Amino acid sequence: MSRRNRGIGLKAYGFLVYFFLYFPLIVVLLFSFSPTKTIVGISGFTLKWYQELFRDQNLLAAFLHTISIGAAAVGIAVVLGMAGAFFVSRVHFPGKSVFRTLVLLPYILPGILMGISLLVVIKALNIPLSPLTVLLGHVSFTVPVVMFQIMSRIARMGPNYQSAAMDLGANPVQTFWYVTLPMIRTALIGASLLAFTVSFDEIVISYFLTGTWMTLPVYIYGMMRYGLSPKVYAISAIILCLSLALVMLMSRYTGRSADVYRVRSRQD
Amino acid sequence: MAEENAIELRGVKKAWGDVVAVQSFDVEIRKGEFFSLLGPSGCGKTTTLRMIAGLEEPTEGQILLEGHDVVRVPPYRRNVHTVFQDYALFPHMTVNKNIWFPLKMRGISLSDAGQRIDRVLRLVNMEGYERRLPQQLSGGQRQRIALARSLVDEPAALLLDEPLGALDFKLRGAMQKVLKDIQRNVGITFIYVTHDQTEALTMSDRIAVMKSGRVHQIGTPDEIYSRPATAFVASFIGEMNFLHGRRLQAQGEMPQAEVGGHRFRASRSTITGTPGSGDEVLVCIRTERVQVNSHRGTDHEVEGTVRRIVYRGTDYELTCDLAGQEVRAVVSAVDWNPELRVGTQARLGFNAADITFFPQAEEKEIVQYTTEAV
Repeated sequence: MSRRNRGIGLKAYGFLVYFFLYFPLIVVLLFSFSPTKTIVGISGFTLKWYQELFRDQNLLAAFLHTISIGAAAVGIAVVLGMAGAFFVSRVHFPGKSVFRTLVLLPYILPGILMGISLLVVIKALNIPLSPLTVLLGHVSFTVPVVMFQIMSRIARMGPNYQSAAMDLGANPVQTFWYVTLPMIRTALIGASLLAFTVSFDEIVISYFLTGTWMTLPVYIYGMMRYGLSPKVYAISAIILCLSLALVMLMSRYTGRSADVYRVRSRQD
Repeated sequence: MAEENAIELRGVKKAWGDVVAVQSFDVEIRKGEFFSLLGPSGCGKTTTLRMIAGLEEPTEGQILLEGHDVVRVPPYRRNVHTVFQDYALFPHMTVNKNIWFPLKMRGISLSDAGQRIDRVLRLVNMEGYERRLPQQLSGGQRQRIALARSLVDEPAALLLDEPLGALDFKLRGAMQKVLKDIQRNVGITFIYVTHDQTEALTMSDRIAVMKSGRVHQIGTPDEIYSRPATAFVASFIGEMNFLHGRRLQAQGEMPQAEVGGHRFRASRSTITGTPGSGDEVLVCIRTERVQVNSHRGTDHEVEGTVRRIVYRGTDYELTCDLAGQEVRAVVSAVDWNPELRVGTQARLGFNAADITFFPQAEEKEIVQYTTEAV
């Protein structure tokens, strides 16, 4: 086999995997611009589904619900997750290693399990279903996401920077504000974006905890009962683009590349 | 006089549960002194340093900074700074901002701090690097910036935790001189943690030698080297021969012992109590104090068979057999007699002034990297 052909099998295989993964997404994107309602045969180009979409008040409301639930859940998750991460990193308590491994459990557990458990508790406490119960559900899995990211950043950072700050005269508040927070900033941004993306897509837990106040995925799921409307393609295409933007933004802040603290050195 | 001491430790002890890290440390460190804590890893030297910094709380005892007990004072209100082994420069701040940090914490603005930052950068010879980020600097440069950051607000003492440990050999030698010069210039008390005996000997005014949380000796480099208090100190610093001997009835002032049928007198003995005749003792002499085929008269002369010769550039290390025990001798390359070869007989001379007896019980504390140990 010549040099040029080496690994051609692997390349073809890789292409197939990506094709398998992304072909349906491309199809959705294409059909969102197709004037015909059927899946076969695209002819022409139209934005009418998008126009219809923006006339659908219920759908727009559901979209706004999703955004606000996501923002609120991320806000709460950042506060709780960061506090939790510092607690686990600094305080020694029995069963800590078990706790550390179980942190991600609410995120990993099947949504149906989390959904039912939360619903059972909420019903038992006689709390009516409302946007707040949906928010509770979303907080349950965004906190672990944020906490896990911050924990690993703290672990990589080590305790010496904090010791050095204290040693140089910074009290605990100053140490957090001037040293710890800037050093975990990128992890915090990355974790927030990830948590928002996860919250944006979430359907199962929301489905259990939502009353008449629906989030976008739950609403789309409802629409599907009346057949595949091209409106669904259009909204899917929009979500796809939003998610892509978020993922690209996120990759700047999480992972290895974020270890190099790219800080614009402001001229002073 | 309390005010003359920068730092005073009184019965300082640190334990984690049953594990004792530092046991009863007493020392008075004078203002402007270069004081080293020397010992193998796990001896408690870093723990001691962290207790002075306030990063660890002692289990017992008092720590006095400029005469005031600071055991309950948090690190950020103690007038001492630490230079960490990994420097701990804040990666998100430029060199300028890193050095400004301790001043900023005291409410001094960057513009007011400018002159002091410039002065301290000049002191460590790092002018022109103000706008760099730490990751754009080499190890030695980071070291200097960490030093500058710790010196900028003129603390009562600087605590250095193996600051040269991460540097390569040549750079370490250069930085030793830089550190010593800076310390002389600013006159600030330095407490220096190291496991490197050469570093401690060349830089310090005084050294505390530690092992397993116990302070074995506190003294000047000369005292530590020529009058080691314990067999451990003798073995940890410099190169020492330890021979097994039996105590003999003293004749005259000096204690005596017998090694392989030869009688040795010692100018020093750390053995306390009334020694019984026939007790086992450690007979010690520095390798460079053993005279080989010397024309100068010595107090004791014995014959030994040459077992090994190692050429080390400036000198030779000769290992001889003395009645079943190894004696090492270091002979300057200038005085070397090429007739000495493995298997030949060498005349080994010892002076009583160079010999010390240690209790046999201390043998287990000896650290020695001889060929048998490897």
